[in-house]
Amino acid sequence: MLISRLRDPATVREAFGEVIKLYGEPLYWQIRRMVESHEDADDLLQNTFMKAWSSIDNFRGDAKLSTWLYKIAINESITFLARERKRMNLSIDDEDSRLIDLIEADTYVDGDELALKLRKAIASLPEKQRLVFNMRYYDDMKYEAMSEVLGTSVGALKASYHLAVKKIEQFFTNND
Amino acid sequence: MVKDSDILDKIGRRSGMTVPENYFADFAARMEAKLPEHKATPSGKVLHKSVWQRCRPYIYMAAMFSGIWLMMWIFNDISDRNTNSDMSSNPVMAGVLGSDRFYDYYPMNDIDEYELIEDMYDDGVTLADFKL
Repeated sequence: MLISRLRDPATVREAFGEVIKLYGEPLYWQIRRMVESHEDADDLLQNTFMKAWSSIDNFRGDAKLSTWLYKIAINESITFLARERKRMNLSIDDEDSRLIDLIEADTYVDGDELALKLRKAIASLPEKQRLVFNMRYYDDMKYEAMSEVLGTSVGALKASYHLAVKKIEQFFTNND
Repeated sequence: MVKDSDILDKIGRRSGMTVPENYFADFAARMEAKLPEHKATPSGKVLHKSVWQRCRPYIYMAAMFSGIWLMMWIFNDISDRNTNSDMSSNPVMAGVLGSDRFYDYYPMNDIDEYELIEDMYDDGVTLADFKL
């Protein structure tokens, strides 16, 4: 059992290595979809695992390991975005134009134009709506699990996701 | 797969994003090498507690019980007052109520003569109705 090995000082390092292998990819995509740049996502993923490692003794196993890691990764992403806005003297409303610039400059892409357009549509959403959309659409996460990670009611998450879909459709209609 | 929109159905889960070759395998190795030594929290470590920290739960509990006792005392006092407000428990009132002539003087004493004449006037009684 991974959790019990994480609690044992003799096996914690090896078990944490497995955690990195197991959750590295889903967490990377969650972060990358928020910050858009591969380099930033790589830094934030390292910070996420570093924070998880330094507080592994505080993880009591009440919540699922994935929920705990998602929370750390999301906090890291949101803090990073706020720091970048402050550094560039941007308001939260100007965030989408900065993200769209990053999407257009991104070199780690497969050339899928429709997918690129979807990235831009998602970037135009408010921060929390973007999180909700990504978790539900790409990770196929259940609303109950999302509620645990984001600390928002299931009803509000469903409404937020529905609204996000409508806005994305509107983006595609306006940019045809 | 969540199907809420034709556009999203058409795109599917393709994000169009890629990563450098072998990125995830390299990342895991790089991250594991970067992890500092694990400093286990010593189990059974006795933390020093101040006198206030040790007494605090008992003081809070005492305050809570005092509050409950005070509340019950106040409710009981109010309840007693309500019970004792019964006229028969007052010795003076009991004497008056027990008297056979109570209705002769007690209710009438409270009525002002002027008010009585006014009431009669309202009822249509005039001086002509009295045989002087």
